[in-house]
Amino acid sequence: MSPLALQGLRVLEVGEGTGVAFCGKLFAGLGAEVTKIEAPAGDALRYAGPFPDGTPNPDVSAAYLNLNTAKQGVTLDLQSASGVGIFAHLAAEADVIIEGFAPGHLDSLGLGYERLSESNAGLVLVSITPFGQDGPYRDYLANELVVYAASGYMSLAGDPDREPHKAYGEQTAIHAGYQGALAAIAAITARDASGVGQWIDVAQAEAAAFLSGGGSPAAYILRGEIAKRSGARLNGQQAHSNYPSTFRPCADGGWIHAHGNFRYPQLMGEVMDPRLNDPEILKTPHGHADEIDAIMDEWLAQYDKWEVVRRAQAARLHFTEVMTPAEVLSDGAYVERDFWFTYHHPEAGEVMQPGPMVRMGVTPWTNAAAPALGEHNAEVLAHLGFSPEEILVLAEHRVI
Amino acid sequence: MSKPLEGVRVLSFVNALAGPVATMLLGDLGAEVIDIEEPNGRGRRGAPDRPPLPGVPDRPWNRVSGEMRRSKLSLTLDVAQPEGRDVFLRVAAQCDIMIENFSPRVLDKLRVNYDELVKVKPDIIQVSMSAFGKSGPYRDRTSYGPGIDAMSGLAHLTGYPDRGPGKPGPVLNDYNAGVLAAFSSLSALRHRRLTGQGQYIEISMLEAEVHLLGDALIGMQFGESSPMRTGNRHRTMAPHNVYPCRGEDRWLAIACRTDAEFACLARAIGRPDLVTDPRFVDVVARKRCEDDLDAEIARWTSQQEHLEAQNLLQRHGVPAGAVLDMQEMVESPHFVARHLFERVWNPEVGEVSHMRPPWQFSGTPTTLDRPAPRFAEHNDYVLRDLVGMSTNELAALDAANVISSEPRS
Repeated sequence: MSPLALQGLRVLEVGEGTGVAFCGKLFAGLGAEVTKIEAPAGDALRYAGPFPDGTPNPDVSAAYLNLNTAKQGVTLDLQSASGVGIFAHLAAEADVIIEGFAPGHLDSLGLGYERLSESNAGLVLVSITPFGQDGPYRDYLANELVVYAASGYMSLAGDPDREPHKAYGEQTAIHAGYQGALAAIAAITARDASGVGQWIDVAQAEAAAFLSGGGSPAAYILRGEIAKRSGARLNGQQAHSNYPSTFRPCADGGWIHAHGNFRYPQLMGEVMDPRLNDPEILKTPHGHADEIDAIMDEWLAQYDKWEVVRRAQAARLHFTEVMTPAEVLSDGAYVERDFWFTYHHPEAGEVMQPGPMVRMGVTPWTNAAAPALGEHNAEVLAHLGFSPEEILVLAEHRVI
Repeated sequence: MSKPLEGVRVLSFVNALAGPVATMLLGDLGAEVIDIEEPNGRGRRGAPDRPPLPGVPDRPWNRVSGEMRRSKLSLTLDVAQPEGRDVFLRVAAQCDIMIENFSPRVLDKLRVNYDELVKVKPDIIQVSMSAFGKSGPYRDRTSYGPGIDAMSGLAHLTGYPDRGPGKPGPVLNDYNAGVLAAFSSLSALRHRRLTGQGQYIEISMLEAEVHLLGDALIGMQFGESSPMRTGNRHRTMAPHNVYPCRGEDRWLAIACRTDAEFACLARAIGRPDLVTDPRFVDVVARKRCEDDLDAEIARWTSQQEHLEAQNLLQRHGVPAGAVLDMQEMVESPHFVARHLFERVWNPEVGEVSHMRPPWQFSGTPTTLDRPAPRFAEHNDYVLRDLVGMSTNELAALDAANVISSEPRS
């Protein structure tokens, strides 16, 4: 068996939602032992779906299956003293705990960082919350849409003549999960040298603000300019900036992303239409964006999206197809790179889902199905010294 | 107390955005990041912002590259020249991690790929990040972030239902990929601490992004019909949208999950009747009559200031957030209280505000205190102190334009 990058690293994940789940998935993918602690009813993602044949079933929610690969699943009622006691046992052995409760909740259970670190000085606790552990909005109620808005990121997304829009899914929660994982592994790097762990505060709203990049906030700080959303075009461009960078429709009704090659601006005109090489257009391409779109559309109207991209890429223009999920699933490129993780799920049958997020030469990515509700209760509790009879007691009292 | 990655040395050979983000984050965390710049002084330094910054009219400063070059050391090097390639390998031999994000053939062509690196540094960790990976039918395609959003399916699922595909925001892919590169390199470093073994890491930005819509891809196998973009609306929640407020382009996001949250909303906006209105009486009815519901809410918000309405609704227990523009974001009392922007003194251009990464550590500091370097600022440190070159060698490299202390064309 191949060694795993994070082999032997013990990670606990607790608290609902996409951010902590994605963070835990990164650790599980690189081979850490990730134990996901859920309330006895199960994580919210178990109820998010979609489900096979549209029938709700917490073990086969697509959102849950996607974000919880290669984890162990344990149910635990943290509202009960028995549940809190078991959590404290697990925490004493953990290297990393990823938690997503409202600020102060762990502390109110007697499971705050200070208490946990008394019996485990090397512990790294990562808290991922909408607004962080302090500040005036600390206790504000939030979800993906609210964070999108309150981070400022949303003001930069959408068409100028319409309301701003968020992205599909929970992308700012996912970015917070990414950032939490990076911070945690950095803290583990420090701990391996010093023996001392620490508490990391990750704010999802700040993760979303980070996505707005260096350019737009700095434009205000330096010059008082307020960046605006610009639809499919790049934000914050000036007349002399490169163009196109946009989505456009093709003959088949499909769409492509068109991106010119800024090193060779004449390529567009050579491939499509000599009018694009008008010196005025070449001097200020972004200033002529509408005109470029109109000329480009005439050319795009001759071909379907596949042919457009084939011709453009052959000429070193950075064009790509806008693919539907169905087209992603049937794209042979992923098969050729052995990307899909395909397995038989006892309740859902054959499932194909995204595989290695990163490919490491020595320590492979770990693919394994997400756990059923409470799947590893017996195993994990036995490890803590509970007998089968005692585990039954815990089940009867709905602690697990 | 030292920063978390004190003692880790990283060679940064990057372009575009994902690579610079990866090595910036490692630098922010305390790693010593040696960032290679082209001797001609163009490349990633970017065009100076126009017009020049107030107060520093003669100093070129590009706000994007200025942000991305913080926490790094500048080494100018023309890797395409044979002597430059040798210098590259001598620097790499002193590093724990090398991160690059050029298109797949570039490192082979320059003869500085992983096979060459392990000859001079057997336990080095190398991350190669590209749009589509080092193999497969898309290997030789080139694309930037939004083009990857297109191919992953994310753009198809983002945007208004009655318009074309949408961008998830100004940039998404590059930031995710940058963090992934940093995370996996530190994970590999842990493996090396335990085993002594380095390794090669490959990231396809497209494959990483496909995970972001994995639920939709699995759902289709479960018999869901073809998923489509829905603007700000949610599969099951209503209300879940942004609503117009007083003023130009002012919006308030409101999303209620439960009956209780909806009741709070109805009370807060002075419309307790909505709770018993048959159209909005439960979660199913509200989803079914979402257009009517949005109209009722918009009637109230359009008379409100967006920030005041946000605070009012939050006081009533309603998840709500004003859509902040860039001024409001920079000046948000929450972000100000949490010091999201840190002032860094840059000897070249004066005081600069940098947005810190979205994490704060209780123990090791992560203060941003290393300004974006001057062109070639650390040539001497890297080549003389780390690599052990002599003054004569440096002068010869400078004369041959392999390194240069001033931008040359």
